[in-house]
Amino acid sequence: MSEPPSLLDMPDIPLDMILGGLGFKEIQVLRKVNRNLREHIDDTQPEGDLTTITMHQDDKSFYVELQSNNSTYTVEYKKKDSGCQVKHAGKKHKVSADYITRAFKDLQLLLNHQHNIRFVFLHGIRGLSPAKYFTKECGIGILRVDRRSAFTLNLCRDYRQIWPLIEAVEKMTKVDHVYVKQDVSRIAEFVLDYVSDANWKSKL
Amino acid sequence: MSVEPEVPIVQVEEVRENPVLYKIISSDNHVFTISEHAVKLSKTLWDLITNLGLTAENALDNPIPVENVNGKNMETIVQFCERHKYDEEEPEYTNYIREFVLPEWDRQLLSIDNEELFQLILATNYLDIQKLMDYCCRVIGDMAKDKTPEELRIIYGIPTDAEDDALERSASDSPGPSG
Repeated sequence: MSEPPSLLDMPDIPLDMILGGLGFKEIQVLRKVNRNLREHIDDTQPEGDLTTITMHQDDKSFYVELQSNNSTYTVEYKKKDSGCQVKHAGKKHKVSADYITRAFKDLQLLLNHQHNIRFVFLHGIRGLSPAKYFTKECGIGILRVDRRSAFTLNLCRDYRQIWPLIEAVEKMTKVDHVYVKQDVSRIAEFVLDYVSDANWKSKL
Repeated sequence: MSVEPEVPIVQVEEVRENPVLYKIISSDNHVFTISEHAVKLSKTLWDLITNLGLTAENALDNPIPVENVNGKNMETIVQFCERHKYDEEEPEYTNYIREFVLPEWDRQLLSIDNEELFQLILATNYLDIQKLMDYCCRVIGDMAKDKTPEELRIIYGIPTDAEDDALERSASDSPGPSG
């Protein structure tokens, strides 16, 4: 009797075509199925369908909202004892890492499979330097963003964080536009000058 | 004054009604007839036909054996190629057109069980039929929507890490050719 067919027995070309047609959620689920498949996905980095990532923070939690063409998913990373609780789609599980570190680690994994993200929004991120996380934790992912992409960094507080952010994003030389919205108008003006494409600005 | 070149005018419909036909023999000795426009969708078959120098005159007398594809898959492939032989050529296939909806005719053709679909993909990969490969892969990919890792393991026939490890151990324990 012959063995039932397995996705892992597929030659590379059809396997990569199948993976390339999946959404970011399915890719993340598939990574959990099997070590060999996970290694293949991490090696080939199939493109996901994520378009926008929005992050925001309150006193105890860090939220990452992931938006694709058809769906929106929210993941909550909540401080819990010495670690954190990750909540998604009504399911919770505890991990030992710090909640922000864990959020950015997950984000890095996601960005490895997202070459077409148009916008990254940061809302009310305070008490930490997102630039530090982006450059150290998510550098690989963000460097993959192509020239059509844009970042909107929406910081509600502590405008001084804008400078290291701009510095960090400038290092991502493939990014065309950096757009920072801030309550402090003069900072906003400076950043609007920084954006060269007037048509792009009008789309926001 | 311009002179019209004396080129015979061939109506498209006329070509469609008098196609050049080729014969293909599957691995289990089933014989299929396929038109020239349809067989061109398979890069492998068309390269073979070109290299063998088959023409309209000798094509039917020289059937092409295809050892890697059985009759069942070949039947599906011939149906697909005949159906799509006059499709406009796509500029470049990309998986990133996610809004794509599989046409109803093709959806029905590919409504087969997983094992058959996997075998069809292997045959399509061998015959290098880009469009059919793309459609099959979309059908396989659609199965993953809203599934858990455990459900995907069953659907896609993927072993657990423990099963993989056991397989590797048994492979390393078994004697080699000289053992």
